[in-house]
Amino acid sequence: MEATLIGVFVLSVLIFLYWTWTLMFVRNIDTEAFMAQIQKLIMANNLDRAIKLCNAAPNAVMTQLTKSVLICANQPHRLYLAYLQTTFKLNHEAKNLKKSPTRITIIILIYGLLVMGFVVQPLGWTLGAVLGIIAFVLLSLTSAFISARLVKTKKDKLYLFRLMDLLQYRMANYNTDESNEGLTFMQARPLTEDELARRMSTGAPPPKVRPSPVDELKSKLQSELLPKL
Amino acid sequence: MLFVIGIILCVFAGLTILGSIIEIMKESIAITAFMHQVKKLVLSNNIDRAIKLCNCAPHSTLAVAAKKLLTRANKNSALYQTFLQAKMELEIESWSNKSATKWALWNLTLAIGFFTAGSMYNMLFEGALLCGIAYTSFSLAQFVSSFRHKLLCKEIPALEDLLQTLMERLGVTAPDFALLDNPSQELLAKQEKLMEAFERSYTKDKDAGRETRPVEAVFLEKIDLRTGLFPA
Repeated sequence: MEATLIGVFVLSVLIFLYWTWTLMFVRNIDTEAFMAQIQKLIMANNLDRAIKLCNAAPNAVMTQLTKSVLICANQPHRLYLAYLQTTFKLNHEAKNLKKSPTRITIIILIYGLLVMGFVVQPLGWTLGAVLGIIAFVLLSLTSAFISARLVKTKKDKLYLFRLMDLLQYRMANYNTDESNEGLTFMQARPLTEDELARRMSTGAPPPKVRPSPVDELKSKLQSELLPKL
Repeated sequence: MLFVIGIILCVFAGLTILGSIIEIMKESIAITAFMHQVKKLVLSNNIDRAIKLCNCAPHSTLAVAAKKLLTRANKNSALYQTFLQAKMELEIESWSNKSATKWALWNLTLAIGFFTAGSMYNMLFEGALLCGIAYTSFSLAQFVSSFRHKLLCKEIPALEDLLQTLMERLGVTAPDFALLDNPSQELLAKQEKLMEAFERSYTKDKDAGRETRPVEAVFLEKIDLRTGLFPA
């Protein structure tokens, strides 16, 4: 019984350490620093080096997603689809994190340890309590890691969105063809005639747009200065 | 030993309660009244004063997000993107683990440690007392965290309402990007196939000399502008 209990304990600790190591070092990257570097390279129109930077960490999730967007940087029509695909992959990553078998195994093992440590106490009060405390700390750390990772996934989504923004800005800067003027990633479109008619019929106020300084000056001239003259 | 642990626990509990109060105070802004005032100023074309109003609550997440939108009120191209960014930031903020929760977790760990030690050395009463203090501060931090989450979730519709007002002011309407947050695998696979078919036909037309326009211009004609995707 004692040997089994200690074996289970060692196994759970080992699984926990492996899982933590994978999450913290293999699949993780300092996104802020990485994206700052990518931004610098994009602003210098150095896409090749940006992709090379992504290749430097092939196991990290964020580098691979960034790479898949960067590959489409010179194909504006593909950019939005690439962004949607990366969003899907990020969501999938978050779902995996919640439902991963490793996580479930860790939690079951740790609960088992807690029960054995505190309730059954086959090893006596002292050892049972010590095992229970270690299991509790591991359990707390597991949930803390998972919640931190989920928040990081949301932050990664924001960074990817900013990357899209940057690529669009780059496109606008390098775009000299007038026919491409309307192509932007997620731009609001003018109201159609139907929508305008519907709005007028429902009594909603007409759109108010700030007049340009030239228009303001013109109206001022007409209303104030011309009557005086 | 008991004295030292007791002191540490009390300091942590104090920090937890203080952190919780600060977090509530930071977000304490009457959302409806604030947004009503901002909307009124926007409709009277008084963007400057609306930004000034947002500056009055620099720690409120909603005021900061509203300010971001208002500073781009006259830029049609940047307005919707700014809104999406602000929405994502609000979501991140609502899910973030705040300092109070961390302190409370430390509290609980310490208290359970002490409780176990107490049970071993027959100091059950002191152990239970400290455990009770820790548990209370932990529950308080959890309550504040969920309260803050709910508050921030309420702020998103208010921000959407402001976006709607700003867009009406410019005479534009927001694209329908409901799929943006959670696209399905089937949809993406279908769109990928449609994209490949589009690229093939464009290359064919260009090689035959039937098409002289750039690919983006042709792409814009083919897609549904409301969704940004090929029509199914």
